[in-house]
Amino acid sequence: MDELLAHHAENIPITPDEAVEAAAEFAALPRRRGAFLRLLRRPGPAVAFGYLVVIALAAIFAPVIAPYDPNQIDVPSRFAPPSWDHLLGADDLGRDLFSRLLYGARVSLTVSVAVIVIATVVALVVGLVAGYSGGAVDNVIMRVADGGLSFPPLVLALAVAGILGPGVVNVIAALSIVFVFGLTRLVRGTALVVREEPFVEASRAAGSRTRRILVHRVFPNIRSPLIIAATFGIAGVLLAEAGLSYLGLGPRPPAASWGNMLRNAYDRGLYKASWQLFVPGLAIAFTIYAFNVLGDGLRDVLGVGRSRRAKRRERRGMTTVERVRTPPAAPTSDDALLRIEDLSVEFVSERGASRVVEGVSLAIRPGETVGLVGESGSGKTVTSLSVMRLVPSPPGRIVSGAIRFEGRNLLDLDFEAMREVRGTGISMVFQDPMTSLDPSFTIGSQLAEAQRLHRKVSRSAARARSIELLDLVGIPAPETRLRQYPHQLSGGLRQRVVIAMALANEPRLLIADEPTTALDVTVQAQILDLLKRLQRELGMAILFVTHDLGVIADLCDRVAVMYAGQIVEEAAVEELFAHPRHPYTAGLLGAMPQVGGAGERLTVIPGQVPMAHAMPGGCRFADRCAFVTDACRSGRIDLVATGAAAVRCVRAGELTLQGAR
Amino acid sequence: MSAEPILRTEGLTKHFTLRGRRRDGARPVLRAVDGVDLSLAPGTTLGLVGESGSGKSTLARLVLRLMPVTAGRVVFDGDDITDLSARDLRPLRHGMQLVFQDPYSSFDPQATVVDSVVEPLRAQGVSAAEARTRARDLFDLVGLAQDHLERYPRELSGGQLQRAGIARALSTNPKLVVMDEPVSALDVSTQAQVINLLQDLQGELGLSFLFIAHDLAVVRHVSDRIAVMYLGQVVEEGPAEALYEHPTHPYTQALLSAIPVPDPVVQRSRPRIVLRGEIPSPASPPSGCRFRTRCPFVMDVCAEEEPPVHESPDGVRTRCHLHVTGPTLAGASVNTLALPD
Amino acid sequence: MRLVVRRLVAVVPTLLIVTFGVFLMVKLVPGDPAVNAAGGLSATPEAIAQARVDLHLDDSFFSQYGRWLGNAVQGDLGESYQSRTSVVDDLAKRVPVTLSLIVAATLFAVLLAVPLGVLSGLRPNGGVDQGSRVFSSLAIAVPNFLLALILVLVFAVRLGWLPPSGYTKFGDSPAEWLKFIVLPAIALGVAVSAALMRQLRAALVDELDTNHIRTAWAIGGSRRRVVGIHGLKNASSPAITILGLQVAALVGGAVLVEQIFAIPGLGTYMLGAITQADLPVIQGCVLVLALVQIVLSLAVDITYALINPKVRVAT
Repeated sequence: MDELLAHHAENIPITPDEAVEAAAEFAALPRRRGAFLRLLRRPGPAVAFGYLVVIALAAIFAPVIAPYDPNQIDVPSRFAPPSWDHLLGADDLGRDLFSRLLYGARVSLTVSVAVIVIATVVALVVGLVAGYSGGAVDNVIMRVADGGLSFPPLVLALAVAGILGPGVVNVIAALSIVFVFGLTRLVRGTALVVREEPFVEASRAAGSRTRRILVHRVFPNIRSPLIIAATFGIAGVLLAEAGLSYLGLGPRPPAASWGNMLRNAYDRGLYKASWQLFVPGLAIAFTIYAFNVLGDGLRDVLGVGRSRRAKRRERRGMTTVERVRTPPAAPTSDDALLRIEDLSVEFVSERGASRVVEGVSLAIRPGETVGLVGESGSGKTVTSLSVMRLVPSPPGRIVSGAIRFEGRNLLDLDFEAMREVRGTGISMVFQDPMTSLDPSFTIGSQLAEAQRLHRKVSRSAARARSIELLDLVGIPAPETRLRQYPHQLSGGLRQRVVIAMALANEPRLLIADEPTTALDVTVQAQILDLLKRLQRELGMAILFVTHDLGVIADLCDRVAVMYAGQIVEEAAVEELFAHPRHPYTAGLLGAMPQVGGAGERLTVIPGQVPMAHAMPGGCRFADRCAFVTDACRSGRIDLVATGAAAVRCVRAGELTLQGAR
Repeated sequence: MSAEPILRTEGLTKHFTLRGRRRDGARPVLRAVDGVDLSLAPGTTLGLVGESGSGKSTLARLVLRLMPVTAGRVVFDGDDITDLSARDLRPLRHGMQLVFQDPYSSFDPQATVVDSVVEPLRAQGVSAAEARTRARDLFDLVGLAQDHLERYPRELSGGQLQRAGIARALSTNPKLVVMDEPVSALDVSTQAQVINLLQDLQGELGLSFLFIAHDLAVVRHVSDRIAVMYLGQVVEEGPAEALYEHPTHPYTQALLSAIPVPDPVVQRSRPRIVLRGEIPSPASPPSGCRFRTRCPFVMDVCAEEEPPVHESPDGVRTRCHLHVTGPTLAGASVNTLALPD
Repeated sequence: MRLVVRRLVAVVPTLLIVTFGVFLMVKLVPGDPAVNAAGGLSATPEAIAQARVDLHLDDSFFSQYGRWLGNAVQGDLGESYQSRTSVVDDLAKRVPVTLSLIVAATLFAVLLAVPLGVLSGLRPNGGVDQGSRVFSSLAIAVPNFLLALILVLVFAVRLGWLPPSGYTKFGDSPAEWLKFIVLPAIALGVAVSAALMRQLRAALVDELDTNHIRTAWAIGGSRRRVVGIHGLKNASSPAITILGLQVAALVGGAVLVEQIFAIPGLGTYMLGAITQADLPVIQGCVLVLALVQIVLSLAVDITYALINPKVRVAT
């Protein structure tokens, strides 16, 4: 039970507002066919659903099932404890609690379902109109909804029900008013999001009418969040209804409801028969819980819920190493600054482990610029993150290899030792400058932190050095920038700040992972120039990770090409561009449109990159290769080194491939 | 150009009013597109290049009349569509279609691929059965297997879905297809497949493309004429080859020099022009010439007057003072000027 | 400072709609208010006619609203039908009581949620996390009034540790106040703390997977700095948002909890008025409770803006 409870507690929103927030995440998620069946295949939601069906049936057939008239007074049975005569005992007037509970369920469920249906329908119409039409209509509707949401829901319900007087219909009216505001805001908010989606623009460009767009495009994408919010909403209504009838605003006595049974048990039986509290109390709690579990389950099956994310483990800032192969022995003499040997990295998912990097070896000498090039999914980023032990674990883990930096195997280090290497020996610059800096701290404080993590530096010395660093990376007016927050800087400036942070402790190796991909071309040119100048001035080695062969041609000495997790070719940069030896390298060169070569037909690499969990045996490029033979598919193909170059192709010796034009 | 253009814009302008107030109490205005004159001949491709904030995507939406026009005119196939209502535009929509940058977000995740592909046909009143037959032909045309029709967008790769996006755009036999960064979300190898497909289709069907991208190499590869946008204005427009070989605007020159050529020998021997700073905000563009804050050749006049359009004999139109003031270039390539230090 | 002013200005239209809603609510009551004012069913037609004039019932709807709003702004919400005392005076006595309950409940919620939420977020699926998940799932399924009843049963009736009901002003005796407020504050605060705890955990877990946290590791950040400084500071924003959303639940729940513990606050006052159909009092209570919610939400909103540089410092 604990485990079940713990599992489902994760995601249940407490207030309708929270449900709205959570459900809004689900806009525009793919439809899953058979969602309901898959819902019932989960143990928690299945039990909850079963319970609710039983309660609903019991409520419907209450007149048949109930052993007594719920209002029949029987003084001798006053406070009778549970027995075969009175399954759940009898109250202060001797009325049968089991029978009253059944009739009470009728009230609770009628009210809940009626309120949610009314509120959902109204919210759907009003919210869609407001969200899709926008403008003044939207403004007025949302002002009113905001006003409505400014009343504490229970207070509003109390006031309305209080003014209308007790009775089931009045409670329904009061609660519908309360719940309609939140749901309207949900529908409208989701509609606004969906309206901005390119696929809705595509429908408009196709010439579809507004009504068709609303019905066929917007509504289906709102449906899932609305179903989820409505399910959680029922729990909310149930709770509010119990509260109202506890306060005497539910059905008129003597008619039973769970709330007034609770009140009765408290007022009359607190000292004599306190167990009576638990009869309606547990019914209320179980039913609310069941709806919450159901809503939670719906959220899981209709989309990528939080619970999947909840399976994450602690983040310790360090990739785990679980070797299945013994690491290669350290070479006796080594001129390399960094030597990656036989590195393999796996990502573990529910479908099993998939190897995203397989047997990668690469060396970088001091002061050298090495390019690592590949398309998305080639494993180039994972390789570079592995050097810093920054692949998140789980799902990532390093399963073989050694990464020697200045002779030390980084895969053998503990966190503290690795921490000493990060930022001093090796620094890293990432792809997205917009999110790479902490939004809550000033540039100055982040630059100072980069220094003070590794050395004792006085505040003023750190500041002086920060100004020097900003100057070094070409940021004008460094003193003012120190006081600014990342969001006040443009993308190009932020990337310069990230580079400044990386240089703070004069590292020997800088890993740059697609540092210019997110930037405009003219800004990219600035950053590339900056990196070249910095390398000239500071003499550090650079590992440059990119998908852009042009960038490689611009600044690298040597280049390694990755495909489907493996290095397929490595050579000096002029050599690789002039005489590619792997068909994939040649294919990439031919597929790039070039400013000089207009009108020519691009060479095409047919097909798709194989999926990491379904790698072909033999050459991984075989299915897309124009030169494929049977030998390519039989067994493992090794990276064969000849001099300073290496290639993973059985036909490398016999092929002559077209290089850069 | 002898034939009547399929698409023509005159002084096309789009201003967005922003929230909040400036110091002087006026509402800030974002000049996304500011006085653009373009002309696209039938059966050709006009490439539109610009960095983020240049207004090229807004321009795409304007010529398709997916948003109201602030000023200027849009003429599509001889019809002035500037002020047409959504209702009056509907019958014209079959002639003009749009291909999006991100194939995934441009397909309804809740609908099958075929449902989205036939939408333009259905909007023209074509029956469901007929539309479906047409969809099968279209899938053959763009090189997709028939069993992809009934899949959901997530089940296709980016390249496959972009082919479906092209099929959707072609479903109504349009005359004009606007491509908004159609290959920038794709990997190099997939990108080449899609570019070749587009060129084949243009040859077979005689389509006219307005091809928008930030990647000059891609644009150069597919375009007959090219327009370069900067801060809502077209700063240079002309035949692709002339523009690339002899750029007449310093921005075009800088842009060309900024794309790294995938050949180390060529790339490292090229002269490089690295621009200062970044593109200013379109909400407060510089006075006079909009490029002057980053221009290596900036003169006093640039801050004072907007440069007039200069048209060279070979049909390159440029907005730059260099061609009319000072040591006038008069249409010659800006490459002939020595870079100031 | 400009930010605070901007937020305050933004509240004005909301206030207008809220006051209009409150006014409208009473106008829609079936029955003739003039009959009530003139002394109920036994009133003479002349007295009723006089009451209509006194109450300006024949004026246009909007001029009635305008007059009512004008009076309300000047601190006149009319007289109670029952006691004939000024509604504003009665409300003034009760607002501090309700506020003290809400503050106590919030304190309890925050003190419980912050350590548990942070520990759970740092070690997802660890012992503390499992434990607090069980706790929060119970906290959600058990409504606050039910929890209140159980607390009374256990701690007052069975164990006799604390009084089952009653109230002493904080100013009179803080110790006594604490004794009376503990159980109500727990009953009211538990659900809030569950929401807060869960949000804090989720925010922290999400935060630790962001790019800037990766940067913090990459420059050689220690665990304490990366998680404790960069992680927590950024995770606190969404947690504050959730606290803002919980204000509504707190104010509404206070009404029920006050009733159960016989605390003489706005809730008991309002419930009393409802049983006696005392419209001016109901109207006043709803208005003041809505104001309490608006003011508290505003306070949370401003706090959020103050700790979040993106909101505080314009680009």
